[in-house]
Amino acid sequence: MSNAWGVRGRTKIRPPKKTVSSEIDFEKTWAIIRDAIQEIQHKNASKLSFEELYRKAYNLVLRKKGKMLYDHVELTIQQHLLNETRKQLLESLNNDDNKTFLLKLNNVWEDHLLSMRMISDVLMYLDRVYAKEFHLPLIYDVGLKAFRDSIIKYNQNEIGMAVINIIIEYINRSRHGEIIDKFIIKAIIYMFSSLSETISMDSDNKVPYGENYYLRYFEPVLLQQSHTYFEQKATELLTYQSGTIYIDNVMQLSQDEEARIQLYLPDVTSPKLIELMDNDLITRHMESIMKLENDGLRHWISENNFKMLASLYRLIGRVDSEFEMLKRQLRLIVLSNCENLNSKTKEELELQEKSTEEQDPDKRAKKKSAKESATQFAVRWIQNFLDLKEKYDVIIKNAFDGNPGVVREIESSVSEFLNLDNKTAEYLSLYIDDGIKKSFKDKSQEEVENLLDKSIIVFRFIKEKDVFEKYYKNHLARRLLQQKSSSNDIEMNMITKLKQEIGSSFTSQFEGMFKDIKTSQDLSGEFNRKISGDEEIRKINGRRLDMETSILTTTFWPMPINKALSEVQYPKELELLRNRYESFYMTKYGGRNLTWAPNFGTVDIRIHYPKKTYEVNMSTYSAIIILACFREGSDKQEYTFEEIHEITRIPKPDLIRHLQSISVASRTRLLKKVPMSKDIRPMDVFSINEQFKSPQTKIKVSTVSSGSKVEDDSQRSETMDAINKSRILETEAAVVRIMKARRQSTHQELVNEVIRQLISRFKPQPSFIKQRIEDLIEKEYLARDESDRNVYHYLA
Amino acid sequence: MTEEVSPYVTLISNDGFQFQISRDAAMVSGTLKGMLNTSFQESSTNTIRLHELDAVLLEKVCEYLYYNLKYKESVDVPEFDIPTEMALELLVAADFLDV
Repeated sequence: MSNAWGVRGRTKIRPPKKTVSSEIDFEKTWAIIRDAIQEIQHKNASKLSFEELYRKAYNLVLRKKGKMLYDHVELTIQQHLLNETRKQLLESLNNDDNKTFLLKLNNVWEDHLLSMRMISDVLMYLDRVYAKEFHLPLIYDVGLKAFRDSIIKYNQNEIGMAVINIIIEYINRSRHGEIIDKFIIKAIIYMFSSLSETISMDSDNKVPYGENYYLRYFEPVLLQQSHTYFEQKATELLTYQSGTIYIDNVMQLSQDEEARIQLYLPDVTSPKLIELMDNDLITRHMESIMKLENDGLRHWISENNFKMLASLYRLIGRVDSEFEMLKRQLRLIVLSNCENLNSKTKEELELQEKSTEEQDPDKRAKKKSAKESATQFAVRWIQNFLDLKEKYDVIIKNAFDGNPGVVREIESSVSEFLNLDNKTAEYLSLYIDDGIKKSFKDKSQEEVENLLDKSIIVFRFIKEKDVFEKYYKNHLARRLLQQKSSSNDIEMNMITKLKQEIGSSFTSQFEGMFKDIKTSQDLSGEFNRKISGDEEIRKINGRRLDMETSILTTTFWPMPINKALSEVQYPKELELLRNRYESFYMTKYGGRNLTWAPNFGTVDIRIHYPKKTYEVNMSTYSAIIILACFREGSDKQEYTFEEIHEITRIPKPDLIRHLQSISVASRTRLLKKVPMSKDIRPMDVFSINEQFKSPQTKIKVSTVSSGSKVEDDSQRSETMDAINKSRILETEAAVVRIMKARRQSTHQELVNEVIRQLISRFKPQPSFIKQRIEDLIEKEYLARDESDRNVYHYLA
Repeated sequence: MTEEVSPYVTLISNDGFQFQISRDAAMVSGTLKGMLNTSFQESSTNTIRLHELDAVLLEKVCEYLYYNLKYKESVDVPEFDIPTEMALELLVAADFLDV
């Protein structure tokens, strides 16, 4: 072929010399290339001239023999693999141990790759010109495909499946703790991944792009086998019926499995296998594990087992970022914990009572009244509730990563429970009442602050805030009037906290009550200074009289104005003071209306008994009874119940209570009652108890049933009635307010707006609002639109 | 592929002229690169016989290989002078050598 490129000369452009002998002998040329391929496959390439082979292939391609060359090359490679390589491998598979076989396979594979690299280099021109033009796979890929078809997949995947089974077995052995050569597994899997299943572009498109032998044949078997393994493991672990064992093992297992995946398996499989594992071990079983009675979620919560809870949280987090199953189980447990509060509180109180009895048997006589212990129950109940809430807060912080979703779930469970009935509102108010009256006294400022904040937490959960308001008002009123409050600062602090929580409209009445008390103290001081020199008063009694009054703004205070009270007949001293005060007050605040409420006050009187003189503090009613009927030196010494009622005009239920406290109660039996029974009957006869004796000179008559206590059922339904009435008023007021501003509105808009305005106090039902609207239409505040009955108009 | 690889390779034209060029320049050609990088005869002897090219052509080819190497990454490239009469022959050579 020398000198094929024409002669040098002065021609303008030398044309490249056309091949002289335009026909070249394909068979002869091919034979050289074929021999060279075989030499390469037997690792004898160094003797060959690249340039020669390249040139031969080049010339064949130039002469349109590309296809022939391409096909011959493919066939040669196939035959080599089929007849030599495959045979060697089968022999090894049958005779050698698995590891030797795999190593052999890998060697063969690497050799093949090397020879394919060389062959394809030599045939570069074929690739570049022929294969590209006809969109055929490059020679190198032809080699890979041949390896796949002539070795791995030949004879129905004979070798391929054998390899897969060996490797799966290795992985299973590794799961049982054996140490396996990771190099060979990685190498074989790498080989499988290199064997593309989408090698020819024109084949049917059933195989997704990027699919390879590993993905198509190996991975499904691996996943299936792993699934069996995980299921087996789960079943085995479940037999222990122990959450601790299950979770500890699953934690360990998933750690190991992840390490194994890292070590042996390609990245594409990792998420699939992990998902499979998480599903088999966590999603399918974790809920029943949590439910285990003795060693499950409930147990860990009650033991504060943060480690287990955190493990559980981590595992569930693997399968569900929302933690739905954890939330579900937590809700159940929180609710049942809450339900247990009742019995738990009761038990604690009984235990406490028992222990005080043992310490001091004398106190047994002073059995607490049912109401008193009910109050204690309420206080303790709230205390226990707060402890429970705090317990969950700590658990969430320590074990659940402070997960906001879990926090919400627990809060909503707690709120659901607290709003099951209205007792919570009353209990909470009693808890605060008890605290301010007693238990806060010996606590530091921070502790008190903390307790108040906790009360606010409960308050926040209560939906019907107006119920709480009602109770709080009652309790606050009693504290203020009976001067039971241990500290005004604490009172104001609590009110400020409530105000911050839901706004000043809620607390304005509480604040009003405080203001009343303060003004009243100033007024009383002024009044007492003024009457100190009053002759008439001195004449009547021979001594000074002092009077403390509390002027209460009717709308702030929970006590109703009782018409029956105005009929009460005051003895002359009190009547005089009353008149004096009224005129004093009227000169200061003309035009105001004073209604006296003797049912709340107390009076100090000095009583001379034959043996001794006592200073007795008693309720105003009791004082009225004594001053009106049993005055020193009066003629009539004995009065029946009816007679006393006739004289004093004190309403009968009150009269009974107060007579009881001065004639039945053992320590303050100022009067003698015939017959000596506990109940008061109309014909019972009362007289001064001449035998009265007491170790102290100063005595305090405590009226039966006073102070803040749990209501019984009938009182509660009364309270609820009252609340219901005020809800009617509030709702109607809201409707009128809205309509006055809007002049007209559709039904739905109106209802929505009413709910929005009232929601901070209570949640009115739409039917309830509808009823109010109808009432207002009847009262002609509103009218329906004549054409559209859904629209209301405001009538000025 | 014994001991240290020489930084130069020898190209021989079909009329027996030898050209010593740097290995880097030779690598510009895909074909020459293939020859030097696989374990064939050429890579052990560092010598490539090019039966398709005569000395005149090969000289121009070598010139181009250095030219290409020098300006591979530059933007402003001076024109490479191709004698008109050689244009077609060079084209064929370029195809053969994959440059």
